[in-house]
Amino acid sequence: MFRNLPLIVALALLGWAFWSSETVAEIASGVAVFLFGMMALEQGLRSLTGGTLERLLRLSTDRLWKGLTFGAAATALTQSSTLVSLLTISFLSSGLLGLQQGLGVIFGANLGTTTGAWLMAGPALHFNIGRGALPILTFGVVFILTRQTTLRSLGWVLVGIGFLFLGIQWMKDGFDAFQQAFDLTAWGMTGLKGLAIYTGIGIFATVVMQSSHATLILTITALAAGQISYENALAISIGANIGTAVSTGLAAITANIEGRRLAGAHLLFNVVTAAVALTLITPFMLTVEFLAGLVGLVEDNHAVRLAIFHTLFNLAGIAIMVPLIPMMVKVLERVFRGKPAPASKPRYIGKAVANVPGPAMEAARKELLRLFRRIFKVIATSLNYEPAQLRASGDRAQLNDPPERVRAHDLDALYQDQVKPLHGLIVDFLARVPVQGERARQLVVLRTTSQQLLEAVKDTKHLQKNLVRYLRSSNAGIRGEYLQIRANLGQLLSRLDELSQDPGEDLELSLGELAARVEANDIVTSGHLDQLIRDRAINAEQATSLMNDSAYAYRISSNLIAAARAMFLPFEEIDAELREELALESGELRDILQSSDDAETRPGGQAP
Amino acid sequence: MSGKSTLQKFREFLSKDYRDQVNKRDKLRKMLSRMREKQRRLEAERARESHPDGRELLDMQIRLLREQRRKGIELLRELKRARKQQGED
Repeated sequence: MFRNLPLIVALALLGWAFWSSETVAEIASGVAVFLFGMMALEQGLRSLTGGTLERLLRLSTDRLWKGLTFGAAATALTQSSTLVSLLTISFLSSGLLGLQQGLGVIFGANLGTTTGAWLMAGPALHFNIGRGALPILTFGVVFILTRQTTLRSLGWVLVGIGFLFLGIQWMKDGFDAFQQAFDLTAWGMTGLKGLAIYTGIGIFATVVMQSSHATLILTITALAAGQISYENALAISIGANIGTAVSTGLAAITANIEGRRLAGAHLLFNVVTAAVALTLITPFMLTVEFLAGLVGLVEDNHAVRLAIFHTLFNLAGIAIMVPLIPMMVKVLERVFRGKPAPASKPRYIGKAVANVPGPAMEAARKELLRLFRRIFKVIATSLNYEPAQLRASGDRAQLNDPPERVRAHDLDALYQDQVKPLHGLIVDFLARVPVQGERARQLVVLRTTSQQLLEAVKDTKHLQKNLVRYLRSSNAGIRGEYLQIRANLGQLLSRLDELSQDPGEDLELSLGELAARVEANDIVTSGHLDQLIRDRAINAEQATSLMNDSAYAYRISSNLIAAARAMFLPFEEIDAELREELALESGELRDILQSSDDAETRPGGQAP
Repeated sequence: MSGKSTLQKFREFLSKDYRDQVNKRDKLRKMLSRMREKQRRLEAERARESHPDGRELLDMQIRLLREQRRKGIELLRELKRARKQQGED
């Protein structure tokens, strides 16, 4: 109810405005068209520059100044701090960006928003931009109707700009007409009371319109029309800064922990900046006058003075807050604490990252890695190993020892509880990631990986039946074979766990070695099974079981190795599809093993 | 005179697919050169190794790398061919 309150109030006010005055209706329509223009512009820029912004953000993660510059430049270019904030949140959520760097970007974005005031105070007020709006809109719509994605995105950008211009023109016309009927300056207030009330109006207007740009343009046009005093306009611009952080905060209520931390930092930054601006408003105004005098600004050009003021106090905010970033990070991490995600809840994937392809893929990869760790436990338990036993990479020889007690575990329950819910969420998430071309193919690799992990658990369930039975058997021959299957899988799991922590430089080679070992361990192709039958070490029924279970073990191993290939390194290092294409097929591995055997029999065993 | 027209260059600049393909080729090249380095290191190690088990393991690793590199080089050629074909189309 509380969250809908601003909307209800806004609707009531709009209804009253449309009913009471045509000029107010014109101003309100101007604001609506302006806001629609911003949405269209954001959509167009998102698809036109999405990949470029992502790449640039990735490059600006190592230094704070780079983050600040990226935030300021990207916001100035796109005129949307929301777009930059969402991009930053998605990078944070997927772990591609640290909180400290994220704060740099957000602070920079705050500075970037001040360019909006300059654009409005400069060209927008001095030209009849409404006349330019219609041709831009027409070209935009024609572009939107084309088939080419780039042109369509460009079309949305043009339509956005067209509507922005049209909205500004309507607001200007509305205020000009309004001036003849009413005099809003009668409502003007001076002193502390004026500061407090107009700052409140700025917060309220920004929260309702969800855009500090809209508040600023409305203020600047009203200021240019002489409907509002300069001091009150300054207070509104301070309020707009707080309002935009409140909007981000409200949006972050449903976001993950990183999103909430960033929104908290944004709010803190804007509140501190606003407090500084309100406290030091007189020195700020004097500085503005000094700068205006330097550039020879005419006395009544309050719109540009407002833009200077807006930039100045945001710069002051950055100067004050940047040295405090490390402390802020500590405080935010203490206030917004991440709880361990329960089995059914994802840790990395979610709404915050779903719309930005790069971070979405990275988040999905990390979530799959989390699923792998659970599957590791499930398989280890079903093989009668303690997961910790497989994690201790010190002595792998002890994995060959028979278990002290052979237990059959309820794998169905473990699957339903530990694997299925998270797997379902990953599959659902992957279906929602908006990707095309190369990335769509990588997404298929991730989907296949999730399937391979699931298959590994299902095959373990089949394997467990006979494994438990024959590990308890008094026939040393068959028990020995099942102990070997168990040990081979244990060794593989242990090595994979080690590689998942530190893939090293030669992941491809390490996985190739593991795959070769799996081929060598296959008792059907190596002829070991035939030998056992000929030696009468096992009977026919046991041979059938062993053949089936050896195939299960082979499939579990192959699926886990294939999944590791797609999961263990970030996408950016080597892409999963490439790794898959370089993986050696079973026949190729067998040839290598065969040539190893041949080399062994050759005198000297020279490598070819 | 360059074979590519300015329009073609602009198209490539805007094309995400083209950028992805270039990225993929670069990644593959880097990966292959890293593998070649590794293979050389292993071969040097193999020459020094006196223990038969150690030699056997190194032999297998070298063969694995050789095979992986062979596949990688083939893939690189394929990517180049595909790029050329696209350019001609």
